[in-house]
Amino acid sequence: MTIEEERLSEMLHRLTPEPPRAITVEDVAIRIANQAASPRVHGDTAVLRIPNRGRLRWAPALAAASVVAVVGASAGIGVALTSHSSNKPNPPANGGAVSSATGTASPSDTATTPVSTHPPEPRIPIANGMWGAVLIDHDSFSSDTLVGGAGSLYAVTDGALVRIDPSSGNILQQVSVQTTARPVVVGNTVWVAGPGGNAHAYSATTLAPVAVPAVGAVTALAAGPNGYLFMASGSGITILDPSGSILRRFNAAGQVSSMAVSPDGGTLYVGVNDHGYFSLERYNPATGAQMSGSANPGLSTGGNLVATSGGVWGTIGTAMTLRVWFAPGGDMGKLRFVTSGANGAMDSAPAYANGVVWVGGIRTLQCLDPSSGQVLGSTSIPADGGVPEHFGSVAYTNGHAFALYQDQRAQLEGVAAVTPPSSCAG
Amino acid sequence: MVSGGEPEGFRAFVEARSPALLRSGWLLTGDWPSAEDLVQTALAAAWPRWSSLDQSPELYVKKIMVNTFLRWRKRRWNGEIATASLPELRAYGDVFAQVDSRAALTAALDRLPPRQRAVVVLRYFADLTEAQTAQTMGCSVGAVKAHASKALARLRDAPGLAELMTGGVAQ
Repeated sequence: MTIEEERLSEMLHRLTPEPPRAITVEDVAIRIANQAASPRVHGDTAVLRIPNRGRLRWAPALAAASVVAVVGASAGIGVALTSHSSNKPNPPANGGAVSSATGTASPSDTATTPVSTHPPEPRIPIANGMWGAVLIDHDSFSSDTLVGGAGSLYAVTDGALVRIDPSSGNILQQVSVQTTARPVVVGNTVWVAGPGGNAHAYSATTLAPVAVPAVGAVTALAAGPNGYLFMASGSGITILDPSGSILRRFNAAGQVSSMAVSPDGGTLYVGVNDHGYFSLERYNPATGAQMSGSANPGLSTGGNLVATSGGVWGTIGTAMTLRVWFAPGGDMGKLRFVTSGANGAMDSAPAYANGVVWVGGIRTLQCLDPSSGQVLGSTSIPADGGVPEHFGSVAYTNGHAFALYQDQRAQLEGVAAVTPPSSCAG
Repeated sequence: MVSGGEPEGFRAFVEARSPALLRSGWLLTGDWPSAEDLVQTALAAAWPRWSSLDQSPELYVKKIMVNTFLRWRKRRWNGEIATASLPELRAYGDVFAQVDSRAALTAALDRLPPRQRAVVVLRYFADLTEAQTAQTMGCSVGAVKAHASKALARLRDAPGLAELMTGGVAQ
């Protein structure tokens, strides 16, 4: 080597940091299982798409089960990956209201479709269920899209936003919209951001379309207190007042990928992904002025921001490398990770409901203190014959908790009602 | 071997070598999530062939890492924009001074085409010989030398890297 090459080599060894965590054989086993059960594309930012029932490739999932089961036996994860498929009934053959409703929707059909004439779907207790989970709906929804509000649940399925009756699990209405983003409920309006298009708004009780101010292609939405809505289009941020009129417009420092508003409405957190680096900016919603910025150049591909009284939460990474972090006071210098990688991708994205933060995935479902980030309650997510089950996207409505659930091996998925412990009450 | 269980020696290899593989992954991709994704992808691909490998397991895993990295970069290349300066990092220099040097390093590596970057990581961080690097990348020794030469030329012009290569910190 030349002197220059030796200097380069020395610099690389000196500056390359130690990894934050080691990879284990269990990580690899879970990776193999997930690759077989649900193939993903690297760099796909958002979404573990839950496939529609009837279109799943069960053979790979079962093959993956054998892989993980064998690995578990030799690698010590057999205890964690407890099979319970024998306790679980088969999915209903008729599919109920959900299946027929989603199967007939046309992607180009923008009309709201009432689908409330079907009988309630069978309630299926989830074996080894987390916090007494009971499946009340058996439809396929995109990960991290379940939200509650206005006495209903809302979720995104393939090409549609649906309104779900939390007591029966029935889909009451659906409207065709192409999105994979989590809906935002503000007052009596449900907002969704379509990829590459304008925002769409619908009545929370009928899903009838509501007029939306034109702000361009919306990249992020966030609900503020007292009925205010924040919309991002590129680097532009628009605040709508409770009447839906534009209150203020200002520009962020870069292309906005995610937003969250503090519960007191005093701080707008803006996530910017620029040149591969994630930065977090803070703005005063009352003036549009940037308050102070903090960034962590070690992070990339951040997003899914959630603001609480104690700071801001979010994710880095994509697909199975997605990890959840908490930055107390919004200070990224104090950032700490809530989850490790290989934890169920978008199913582990944080949600703020009933006064606490919820983080799911394929290992544990946790509720965390919104001020300190401490774990207040936790329950293990079982595995079915070695295939990880997914449980996350916790939402509240009418004082009851719900979550999205998927067990590919047993072909069970949908919305589950759960009863978290009292420690998870905000 | 997938259906036959965990191959012999796989666990020991993962435990012993995953930190170093992750560091190589970090140099290739520039961030930990992608590095973890890369190493896990390589290990998952190596698992079923582990017991029948006729070469060094580490070289084999690195070969998968490099090929996967090159495939990702080919797919994502249009999204990559090399910059001559690092304004977004300098704005926070006081707060994150400890990472400025690493940011300058990754920014410099971002300037390299994927194959040149892979050669830099394999030759000068993973300490492979030119022959091993060529074997890992599936190219000739001459191509490795050419990539290395061009990479060094590009890195000479990278902002802040000259100071780093002499033991200083990025300005």
